Amino acid sequence: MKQQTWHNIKLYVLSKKINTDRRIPVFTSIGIFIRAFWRDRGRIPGMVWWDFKKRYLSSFIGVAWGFIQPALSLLIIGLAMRYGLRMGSLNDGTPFTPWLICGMIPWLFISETLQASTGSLLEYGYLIKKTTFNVSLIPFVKVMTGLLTHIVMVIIAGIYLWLNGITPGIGWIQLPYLLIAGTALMSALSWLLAAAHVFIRDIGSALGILITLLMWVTPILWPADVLSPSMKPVALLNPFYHITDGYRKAILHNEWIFSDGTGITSFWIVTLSLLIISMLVFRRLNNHFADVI
Amino acid sequence: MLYEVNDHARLPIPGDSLPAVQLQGVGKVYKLYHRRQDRFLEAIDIFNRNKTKYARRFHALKDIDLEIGQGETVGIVGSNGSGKSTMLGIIAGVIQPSFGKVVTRGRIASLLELGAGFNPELTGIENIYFHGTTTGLSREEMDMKREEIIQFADIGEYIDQPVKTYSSGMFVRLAFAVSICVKPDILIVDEALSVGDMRFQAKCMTAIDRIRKSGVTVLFVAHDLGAIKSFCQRAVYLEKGKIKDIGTASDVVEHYLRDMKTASSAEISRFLRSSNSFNPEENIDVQQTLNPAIQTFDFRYSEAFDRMVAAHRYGIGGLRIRYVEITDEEDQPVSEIPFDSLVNIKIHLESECDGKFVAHTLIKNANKIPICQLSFRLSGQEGMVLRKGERRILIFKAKLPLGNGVYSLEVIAGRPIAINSPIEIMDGVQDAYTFRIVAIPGKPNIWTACYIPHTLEILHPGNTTQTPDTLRLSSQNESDQ
Repeated sequence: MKQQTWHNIKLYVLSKKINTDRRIPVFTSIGIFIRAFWRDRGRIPGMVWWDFKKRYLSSFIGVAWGFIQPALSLLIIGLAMRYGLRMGSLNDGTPFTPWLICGMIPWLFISETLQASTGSLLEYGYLIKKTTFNVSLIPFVKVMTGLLTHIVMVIIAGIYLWLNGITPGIGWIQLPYLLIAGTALMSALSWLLAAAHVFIRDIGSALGILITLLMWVTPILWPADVLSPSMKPVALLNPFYHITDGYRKAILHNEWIFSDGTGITSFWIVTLSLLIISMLVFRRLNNHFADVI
Repeated sequence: MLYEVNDHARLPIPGDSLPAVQLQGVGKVYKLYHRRQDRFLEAIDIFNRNKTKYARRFHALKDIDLEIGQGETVGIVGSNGSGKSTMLGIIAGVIQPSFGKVVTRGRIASLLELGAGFNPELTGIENIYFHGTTTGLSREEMDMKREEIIQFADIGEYIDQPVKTYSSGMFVRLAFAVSICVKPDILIVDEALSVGDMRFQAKCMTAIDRIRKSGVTVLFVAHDLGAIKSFCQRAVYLEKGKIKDIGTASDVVEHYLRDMKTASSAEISRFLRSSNSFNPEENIDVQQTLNPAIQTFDFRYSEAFDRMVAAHRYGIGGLRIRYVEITDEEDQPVSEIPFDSLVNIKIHLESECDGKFVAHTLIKNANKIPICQLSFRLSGQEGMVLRKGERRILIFKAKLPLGNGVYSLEVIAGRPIAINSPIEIMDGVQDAYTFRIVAIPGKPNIWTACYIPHTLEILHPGNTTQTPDTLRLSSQNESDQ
């Protein structure tokens, strides 16, 4: 047997070298990314579970925080608005507190996911350096962890609003669409930011400011109709606006989101371009992660 | 079947006898960037085709072509920085090759530089399941392996503590236990085991041996060349990122050892400056009594030697030890000395003042315990009178009847004060020369620190004599007869 295996290692002399840095077509590149992601999709639920567990590892009530936290933050907004600011209603008659809650819920999802996923590759550095783990899963796992909390929050908010006189309507069935749209947008941004953060650590410091800036640029704390007509097209390019506005339309007004054709089209154009760019950038940088972390 | 470019193709284990690992023209270039951002800019810069302006390039691996069959055990040898770890990293899929194609077939478990991708915050048990999650094993599968892993790791109640509190030994125990119990098709072990204690290492070796026999491909880097020789069928010898030799393990290890010996002497000779030739007539004593065979003496002075011993040098100065070496009977520098063979211990001295000088050397074992001493007095000489700037080469000719192991020389030179009293130390260097005593195959081995030449006589007793109680034993033996 020894003699036989001797011949199994042979010295191959190949004259042709293949440079892996050479450019491959954009869609092949995206194809490789998606194929690898799809192949390892089975690991996502487990990773989300561990991520959840780890986040609340050293706390007494553990994973329950994942549900108590969003509930408490909602309660604080509600109390502050009702007893503190005593805001009445908007110009079009929409009560202020539910209006604000519908805008804040998706925004909390967005800002928390951005913060969690940006540092995610460093957090899971040991997987990148020591194992063959598919790195592209890591930012996505962070999005999924955020999404879980978000779903709990939507349910709690739904009950809260119902108790406060906003009856569930046909518009509420659009919520799954909004979850998918949010996930798509957040995945793109997470891949982009997480990959870039490995090389440019400054992103971590700048992120807080960026999130605050985005919050004020997006009509969340102020109604969109205060925008001058010339600024309306610019707001369409802001994909966050479509999401926060979508929640308000679906929950408060029972309106169909797709009735605003330009809004939905521009959102998906922006999101899909971001997805393509982020996959390309992530795949390109993927080879370097282990060398840098 | 080979996949497109830098995608490491990880295929399931095939039924037929396709090789488990194929490397074709694999190379790895590390780019040394001035700033971290440069790497990012280069990667996304799609306009700069040559990509020259961002980094310097360092070739860690070049043109590696290798096939490893299923069920083979292959050792990888090479000096530090020869690319061993890079190559294993590429095969494991952790490091992306810059050139070439990599195909592996089957599940890979790798123990690279002390790690199996454990989450430091989670406990040992949790990490077992976490490992299952990251490698795509279901909870049920891990449930089945759990007890086996805990038993193998054998780290007691620490299994319920966060991994970040582990010692490196416990960490590698758990890592190895997890790696080997998930039944990989290819196991990659990279020097990590040297952290474990001897008992655990032995256990690992048994485990590797067992899974090797069950048809698992094992890739193995160890500084223990004996393990590679006895363990691997085949070995690869890497030098400066290239395959220098590939073949049966014993051949390759021998080749590597040979190169190491020449390299270590070449390393020092590179800095050697031969200076004015030693004139044999000046010191007839030394020449005649110690080594009449050697006719030419080049005084050796090397900066490398000075650097090597600088850290532990002591003494008041006035006499300098310039160079120390051990040569064999052909006067070739040796680092592996067969048991009880004749060697020359050469000490090159240069005086910095006038006076009478002596020097001696201590042979110390690996624990720095002095085993024996070679000196002027013990060889029947009083000392040597030198003027400032004069140079001498002392050659102690001796047999080294020492047990297997690593030894070093401590050389002390100075001025004698009185007979049988310590000398005034002018220059003392520790670890002036390091060597290993090896057993001669086919000769009796000794298991003790040193060997004393002796004879043995076996007598047939004639008369029986009553002995005092203290010698009862011999009388009992006699009555048995």
